Amino acid sequence: MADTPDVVIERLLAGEMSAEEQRRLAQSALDDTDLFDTLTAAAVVRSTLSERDRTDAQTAASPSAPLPRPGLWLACSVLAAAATIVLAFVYFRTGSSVPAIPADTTVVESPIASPPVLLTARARPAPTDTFRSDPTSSRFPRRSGTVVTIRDGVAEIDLGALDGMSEGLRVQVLNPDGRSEREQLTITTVFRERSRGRLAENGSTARVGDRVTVSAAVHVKAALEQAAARQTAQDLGAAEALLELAVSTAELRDVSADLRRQARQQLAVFKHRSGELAEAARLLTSAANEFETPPAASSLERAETLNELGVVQIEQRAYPTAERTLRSAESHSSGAAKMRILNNLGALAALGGDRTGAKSLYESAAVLAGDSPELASDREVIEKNLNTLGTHR
Amino acid sequence: MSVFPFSAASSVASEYRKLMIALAARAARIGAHDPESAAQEAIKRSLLNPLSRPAVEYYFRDQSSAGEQPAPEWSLLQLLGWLHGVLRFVVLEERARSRREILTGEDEMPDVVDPADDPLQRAIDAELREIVDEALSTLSVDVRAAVRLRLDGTKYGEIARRLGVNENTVATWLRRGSLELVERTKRRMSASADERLMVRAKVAGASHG
Repeated sequence: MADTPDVVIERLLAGEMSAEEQRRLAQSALDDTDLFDTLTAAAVVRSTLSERDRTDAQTAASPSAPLPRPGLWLACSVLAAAATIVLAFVYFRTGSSVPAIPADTTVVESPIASPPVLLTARARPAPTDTFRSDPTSSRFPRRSGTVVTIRDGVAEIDLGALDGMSEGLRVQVLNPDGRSEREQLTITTVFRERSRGRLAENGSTARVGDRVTVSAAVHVKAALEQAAARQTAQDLGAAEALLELAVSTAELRDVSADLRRQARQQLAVFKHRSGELAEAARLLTSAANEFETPPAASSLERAETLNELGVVQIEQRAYPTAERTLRSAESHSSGAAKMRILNNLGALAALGGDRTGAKSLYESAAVLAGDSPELASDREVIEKNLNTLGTHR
Repeated sequence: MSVFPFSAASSVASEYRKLMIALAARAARIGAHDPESAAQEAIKRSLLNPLSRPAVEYYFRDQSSAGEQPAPEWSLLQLLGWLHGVLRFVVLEERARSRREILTGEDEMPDVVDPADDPLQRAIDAELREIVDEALSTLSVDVRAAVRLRLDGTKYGEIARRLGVNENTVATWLRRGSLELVERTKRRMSASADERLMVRAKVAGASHG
C-alpha cells in the first residue's frame, strides 16, 4: 500500500527513504507542480533546521551557501560537536556589540581578504534516563518538596525526575518548618514530578506535610540537564535561566568543584553564543581558576575550557592574551581538541599577518582531522581557512 | 552568458524537459523575466558541479533516458535545496543584468553558483529561516519537540521515552507535524514570492506612469 502524504514527508525529512523511493518521488514531482513545491519546501525546512546550530553561532556576515551539508545535524548532537564562529563582524561591522578592547591589548589589522573561522567544542550533557517529557512545558527543578502520602513505610513526595530524583538517591525528610531532620528517605520509584521512597523500617517519624530536600549537587545536575533539553528545544530563554540557576547553586559549599566548573563552562558557552563576550570570559576564567581544586580537571576539560576562552579573547580582539590562553590549551590537548586549538592558533597567526605560521598550523590541524567522518565539518573549516590564505590579496 | 556549448544545451533541454518546466514555474514565481532560460541555466550549473550532477542525473533525468545508475551521495532533499538556491541565484543575476547593475565582468561570470558572499542572498536566507521558524512556532510544544528530535536523527522509541508518551503518539505527532510544517513553509514561501512580485509590479507601474 502506498504511503500517505504525511508519512512520505515524515520519512523524507527523517532521511529514511531509499534512493529508489526518492527517485520515484522525484519523478512524480516532475508531473505535479504542487508536489514539486512541497518537496522544495521540505528541503528548505530540512536544511534550515539542520544548519541551525551552526548558523546560530555565526554572525550575519557568515556565508550561507545553498549546499546542504550531509550529516551536520547529526554531528551537532554528539557530545563534543564542533561549532564554527565566523569573526567577520570583528572587521566589517561598525557599531556592533563587540566589547571595548581592554587597555593592555593590541589590535591587529587583518591582512587577509576573508576572516578566518574558529573552532570550539560544544560540550553537551548527555541525556539521562531520568529526564522525560517535553522540556518546554516542564517546570524548573526544585530543591525542596513535601511528603504527600505515607503508606506501609513508603512515602510519596512531590519531587521527581525533573528535580533530579533517581532510584537509590537519599533525600532528607525535615519537619514542616524545615529546621530539624527527621530521617532519610531512599528513593525507589521515580516519576516525572513525583517519587516514592522507603522510610526507616523501624520507628519512622516522618509525617505527611514534612519537607524533603535534595542536595545542591543534585539540584545543579537537574538544572543542567533541563537546560540542555531546553536548548535542544530552542527554548533559549529558559535554558539561560536554568544555567544561571545551576551556576548560582553550584557556588554552595557542598557542590564539588568539577560540577561547579561544568556549570560555569556551560553558561559561558551560552553567553558566548549570545555575544556576551565579557561575561563568557569571566565565567571561563573562573572555571579555569578551579582546575586544580579536587577533583582536578582532566586534560580534555582544561583544553576545551581554555580553547573556548581563547576564542572569546580573539573575538574581543585581545590577541596577545588569546595566544597565551591557546598555547596553554594546546599543552593540555590531544586529538580533536588539539586540532581545534591548532586551527585557532592558525587563525590568530593569520590575523597577525604571519601567513607562513598560519599555513603551518592549519596544516597540522588538518593532519589531526584526518579522514574521520565525525570531524568532517571541522576539516571543512580548516580547508576553508587554508584557502583563505591562498586568496590573499 | 551560457556556460554550455549549443549541443550540450539542447541535450539538457531534451533529457531534463520536465525538470526545466518545473523549475521554470518556480523561476516565474520568484520574479524571473525569462523563466525558461533561468531554469535551463540552473540545470546546466547543477550538471557542471561534480557534487550535484550525479543527483540531478539520478533523480531527474527523464526516465526513458535514465538507464541503470548508482544511487548518488546526495539525498533528494539535498538536491532540491541546492536547485532552489541555484535558481534563486540565477534569477538574481538576471535581475541585476536587467537593472544594468554589473555584478562582475562578463568574462568573470562564475560558471558554478557561489552565492556565499552576496548580501541579498543572505537576506533571502534569513527570510527563509524566519519562514521556517514561524511555521515551526505554530506547532504545539509536544509536536515541535518531536519533530526537532526526529530531525536530529532520534528514533521513535527514544523520542517516546524522552517525551513520556507511547510510540503510536509519537508517530501521529510526527506525521501531522512534518506535513503541517512543510505545508506552512510552502504557503509562506509562495506568499512571500507573490508579495515581491506585487511590489515589483507596483514599482514598474509607477516608473512607467
